[in-house]
Amino acid sequence: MGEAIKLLELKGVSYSYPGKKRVISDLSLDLYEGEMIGIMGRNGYGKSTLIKLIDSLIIPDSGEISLLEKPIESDEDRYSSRRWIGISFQNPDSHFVSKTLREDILFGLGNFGFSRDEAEKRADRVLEEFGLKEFQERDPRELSGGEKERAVIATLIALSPRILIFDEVFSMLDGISREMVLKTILELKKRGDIGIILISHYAEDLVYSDRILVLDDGKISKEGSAYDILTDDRTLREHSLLPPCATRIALSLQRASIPFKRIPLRVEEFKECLDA
Amino acid sequence: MLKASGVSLLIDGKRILSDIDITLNMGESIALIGPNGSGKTTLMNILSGLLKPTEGSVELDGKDVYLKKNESFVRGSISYVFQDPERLLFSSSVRKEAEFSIKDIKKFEREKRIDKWMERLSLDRSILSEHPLSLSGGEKRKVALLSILVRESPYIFFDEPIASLDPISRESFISLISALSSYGKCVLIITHSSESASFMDRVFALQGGECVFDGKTRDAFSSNSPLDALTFLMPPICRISKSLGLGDCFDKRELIDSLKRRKDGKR
Repeated sequence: MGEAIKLLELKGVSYSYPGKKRVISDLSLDLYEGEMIGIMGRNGYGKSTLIKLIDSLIIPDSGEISLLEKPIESDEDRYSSRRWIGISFQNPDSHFVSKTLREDILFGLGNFGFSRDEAEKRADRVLEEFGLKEFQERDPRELSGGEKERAVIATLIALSPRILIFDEVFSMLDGISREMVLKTILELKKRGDIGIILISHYAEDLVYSDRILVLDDGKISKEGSAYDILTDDRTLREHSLLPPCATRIALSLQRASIPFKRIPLRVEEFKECLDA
Repeated sequence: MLKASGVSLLIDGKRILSDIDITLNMGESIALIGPNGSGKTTLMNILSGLLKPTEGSVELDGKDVYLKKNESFVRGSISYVFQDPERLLFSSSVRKEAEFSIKDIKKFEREKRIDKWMERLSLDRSILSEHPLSLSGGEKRKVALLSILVRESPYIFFDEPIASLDPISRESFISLISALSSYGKCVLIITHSSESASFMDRVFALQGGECVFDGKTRDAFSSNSPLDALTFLMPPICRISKSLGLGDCFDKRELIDSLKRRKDGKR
């Protein structure tokens, strides 16, 4: 097997809106295929601007963005780059434009120049893959929270993107839907050809990330493995963030002299981590 | 007192809510919980008089909330914070936004309220002259909350108000909400976070449009509760204590004590 391709690279990227202070400041990050990175930070750290930069909706004031190991330089590069990037926004309803889910999937494919035949084939494939066949003639806005998110993922995957960005997608989901969506995302990661960026304020959503970046004031303030970042209570609090619930409880217990073999990140692993 | 009796809602023959009875009292904070699609937002719309049920009644201090003649009384008594409150921002400055719903009160009192709520929401006064839409997502949400909280209505309803706030803002917002009830307000909050729900006085749980629990929060999250089967609705601390075979522990202190007791017992 060859070396993993670097799907996305930001090198020293800065951006400020006209007449305002810098929102993104000398930011560098990379994402490889098969990798899932988590991004977190306090409200106002520059998340929306960062997504716009990655999706070439705005152009950096300085620095360089490369996609699939090629720098994005011209307007043509910018337009074609979007073909490879799928973004799932916090409010799934903002994705839907058609009356039925199937039409919605076809709409995206048509926009990117796929023939009707090819589009129909791809729609069939993703509806099957994400267990959405029974919903294909339904209005996607009427699906449940978890189904909606899977519908969004299906519309994105139909385009065979190489990078998927999930922007706070878990915040409106109940526990069961959350598990369902997370499982779908982990399966996408396993495919190996996609790089995933999960953006969330909530540590619970990021426990499966390969790396986590903590952003503050448009810069990377801390970077490390999910375990190192999410068990670092002090650093997280400095950024208005908190460790996962299970981790916070374990850290309190540890301070009360209850020994742990390892600090858990999830409720489900609490028992095995306790040194009873 | 806001009282709903025998409330049912049918849409196209489909039962969305079934025979719901709920009474909201002043000085009480209530978490309205349940899976996606269980009817939480629909019930909140009905309680606030925005949606009329197919069957049943809703009365605010004995007055029918759906009667035209009671409309201004109901509007003045209940504040409703929607899921995406920032969508309702329309003024050209944060100050105008905050003043909009309290234009009729004296300037001095108005300023006092704005100051008070800005401080409680950790908003800096420097943003008062900014355009609301130029703020970050989290700030926009706080400004939208500010414009509603300054009304100081006796009943305040929140539909997932904390989803896009960072955890520390969320923590302080949840303590703010539970504090509102100690100031005598009645707070009803829809939340998917069982941790946030555990800070409220009372839990009202819906599943498939039916009430499956209404009672004290501690009872809601105990192992005898009907909610125990809906594991994902349980706060993490309760799930952990259960997985360790320690019975019902509701906070860290209780968990620590139980673990220590068990260890001492083993010696």
